[in-house]
Amino acid sequence: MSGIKGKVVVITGASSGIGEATAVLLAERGERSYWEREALIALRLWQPASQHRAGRRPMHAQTSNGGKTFSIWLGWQSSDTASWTFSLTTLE
Amino acid sequence: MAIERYGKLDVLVNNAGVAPISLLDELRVDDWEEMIDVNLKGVLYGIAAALPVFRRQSFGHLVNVISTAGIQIIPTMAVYAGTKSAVRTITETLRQEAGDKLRVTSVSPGFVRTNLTNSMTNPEVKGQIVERMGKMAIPPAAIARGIAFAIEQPAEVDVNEIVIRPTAQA
Repeated sequence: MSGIKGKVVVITGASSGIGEATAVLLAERGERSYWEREALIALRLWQPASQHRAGRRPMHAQTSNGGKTFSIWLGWQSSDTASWTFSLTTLE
Repeated sequence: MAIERYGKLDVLVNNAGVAPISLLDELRVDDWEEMIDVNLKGVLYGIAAALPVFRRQSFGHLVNVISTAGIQIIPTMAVYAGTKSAVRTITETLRQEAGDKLRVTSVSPGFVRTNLTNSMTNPEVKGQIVERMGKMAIPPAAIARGIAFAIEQPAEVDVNEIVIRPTAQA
């Protein structure tokens, strides 16, 4: 499949800057792009396992199904230096 | 999650990055770890998540946003450029291993008007970068257009590398 329409795109670090601009551009061109704002909403729905390193709160979202789960860094919030991770589950 | 929700994944754009740059003499070990965690391991986790999905689908496109810091070596950027050089190497290896179905693209931006400087912990270095950004930085949309160009090509066309700098950047 060529072109933009109908493609599913995951963009890490899309809350601002290049990631955000890419998400917006692709969305304008008919993309179903899946970006951080949506992921952050999903993160809030899950119970994050907080870890503390150098005063930061990395967040690890886990899905409840049995598939393999990996964490992807989405970027971080500079205001409170919280790091966000986002799990992309691969269905077996 | 994208798979659950949308049933497939066409493209993963590994874009997240931090740049708490400083001279090595400052020994800001926590900053080094942060850059390795986000810029390098973050990309690897992204590959680990997406590659099996792409293989199963027999299609997929991995786009890694690197930096001209991975090409042009300058003081204060040792670890930052190190992570970017590593991602460049990993991206090219992945391209060669990808086979005839998966596409792999690296996009290297120069000075772009983003809040990347928010992640800089050394005020002096941050000030210098902010000043240079103010003089020449281009809008993030310039890079977004490059990423979109790579994505919108027909499946048999793989745009391997894109470098986008401000015209004024040396």
